[in-house]
Amino acid sequence: MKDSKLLTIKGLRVEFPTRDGALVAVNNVDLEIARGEVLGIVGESGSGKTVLGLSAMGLTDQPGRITAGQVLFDGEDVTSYSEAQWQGIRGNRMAMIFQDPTSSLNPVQRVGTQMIEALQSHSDISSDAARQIIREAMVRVGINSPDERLDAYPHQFSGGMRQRVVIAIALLNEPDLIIADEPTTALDVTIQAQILRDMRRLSRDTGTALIWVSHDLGVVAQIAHRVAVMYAGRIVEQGPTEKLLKKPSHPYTQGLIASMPANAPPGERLHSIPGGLPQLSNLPIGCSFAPRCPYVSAACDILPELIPTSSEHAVRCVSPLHGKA
Amino acid sequence: METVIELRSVQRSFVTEPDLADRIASMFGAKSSAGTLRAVDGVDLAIAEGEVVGLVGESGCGKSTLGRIVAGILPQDTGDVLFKGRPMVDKTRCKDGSGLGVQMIFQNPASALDPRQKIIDAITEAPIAHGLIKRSEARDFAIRALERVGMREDALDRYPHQFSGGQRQRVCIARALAVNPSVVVCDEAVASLDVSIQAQIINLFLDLKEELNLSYLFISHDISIVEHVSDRIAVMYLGQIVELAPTRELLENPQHPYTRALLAEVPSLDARLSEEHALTGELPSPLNPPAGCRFHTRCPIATETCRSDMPRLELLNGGHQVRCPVVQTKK
Repeated sequence: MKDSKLLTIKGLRVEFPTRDGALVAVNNVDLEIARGEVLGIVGESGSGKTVLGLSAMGLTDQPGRITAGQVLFDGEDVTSYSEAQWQGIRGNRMAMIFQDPTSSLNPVQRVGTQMIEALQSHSDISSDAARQIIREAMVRVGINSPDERLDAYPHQFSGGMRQRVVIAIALLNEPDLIIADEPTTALDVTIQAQILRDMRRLSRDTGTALIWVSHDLGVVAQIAHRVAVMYAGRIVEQGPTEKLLKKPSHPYTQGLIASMPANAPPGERLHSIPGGLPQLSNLPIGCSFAPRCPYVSAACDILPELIPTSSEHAVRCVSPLHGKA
Repeated sequence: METVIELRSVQRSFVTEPDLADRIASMFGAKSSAGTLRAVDGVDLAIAEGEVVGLVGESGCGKSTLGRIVAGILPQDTGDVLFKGRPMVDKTRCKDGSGLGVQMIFQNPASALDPRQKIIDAITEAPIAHGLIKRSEARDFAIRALERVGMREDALDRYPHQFSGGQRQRVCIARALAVNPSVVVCDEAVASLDVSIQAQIINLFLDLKEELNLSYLFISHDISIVEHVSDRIAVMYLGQIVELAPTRELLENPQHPYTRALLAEVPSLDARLSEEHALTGELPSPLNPPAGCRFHTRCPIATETCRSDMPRLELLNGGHQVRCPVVQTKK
């Protein structure tokens, strides 16, 4: 039986063994994404957003491993897939875009060769036919005169162009799902805007679902239909982008939005969240955000569940704000 | 207000030496890729006492090179850099302490600190070397320096790796302030920090400015941060300042087509980016900048003259300077 959701993550837990005990990078995460949907995952460094994205593609970094939960892709449990099984769907039905395009491309291979490889490893296609598809893919991501560019090496491209090549490769096999991890963070704001527009259009035109992982709320606001906010390995709030950003319910989401310089009068002190992230190997017993929370109470000593407040919105807080300022 | 830093037609080039592969290739008739990169090309800028000047632009526009010249750690080729009316010393040569008035804070606090130097030594090394404090006073001095940046005494005998990124940046700030500078150059000083920590450090910069009457040259690619801290903003493109104006004026009334495009592309929570690109193409190679106006290859309003004549930075009203003949004539 096929699930109506493209990707379903249930109770996912990813641990990294360390000298100080197990570090829980992803802690009991539930997520769903439908076809054609764009989901933003927002969090600061160490929140687990990258590990979550990697684990959803069977790319959990060693020595980390999934210790609980399931990843269902198009109704099928892929959690215990072998490497060979993953090879069949990765780069084909799901693709990943990383932050640094330089390290995603092979520096000693022509860009065209790398793209042909991505196509031919998933289908028996002649090199001529592959070249045609590649040309179209390059034009689709805004690289004009693709014939000249196909014979170039990655270092001959600018940063923005390189990331476009990576995006073109991700799109080659018309995947159902793309996971993009901070894909525009290394780029200038002008190039970032171009790529955001391109991706917005591509996902609309092709129906590809997109998970966009970023620390930048402004970027996510531009592209995502829904947003999940992560803190210390857990989702603390999720909901439709506009509602979540305009009326955040979790004190952490509210704090993040208030910390943005654009949301404060110039020259005034910024709102800042006191303290820093807790150690993932030594989380507080109750709510992980409690030590930094301005609304903390005795009830926060017990870990709150992620509780739905409406059909679309959920928050992990004993006394959610419901938009109070 | 008195001017503390003044730049007069400052220029700095880097010559890329041909490497072995280049030389072999050129023996077979290939065009050499070596050339002269004019990173900073005729910049005039003055920073007043207690003033914050923000510097924005895309990567490769020369903003970091300009910051280093202001800090005296990279000599200019031509032009003058004046600190309180006197020529800025080249700190890489002159180590007598006469250049202490300008200090710099870098993007990555992890690489700006010596991993094997305790925090107390990082903070007190320079003031002791320059005779500002006695060795016996070092501990008390360091405690005060740390308190000023919101850290406690127990940090003194620890090493940089024992701190988070935000705390390390606080140490870098304490170290820069230990020699009583009047100007601090902040080069992407909060770019590597998380949003919530970034806000803490920006607040610290604002507090210290009030407390010590500091001037900042605040370099960042993030316009919303620059907008928040700066009194005036300079926009750089391919080594030149294309627009310079008081913050509010620049944001509400941007004149240069590049500034307009840059502001339109900032993602915000409230407005969705328009479907149309505000700016097409990418920054041309600084090794081979376009003739005439540097921006004409990407400019929506370029005229025939823009392709041949380099425009000058002209003063409009209200201290607003812009390098564009098209908008200048419209006024």
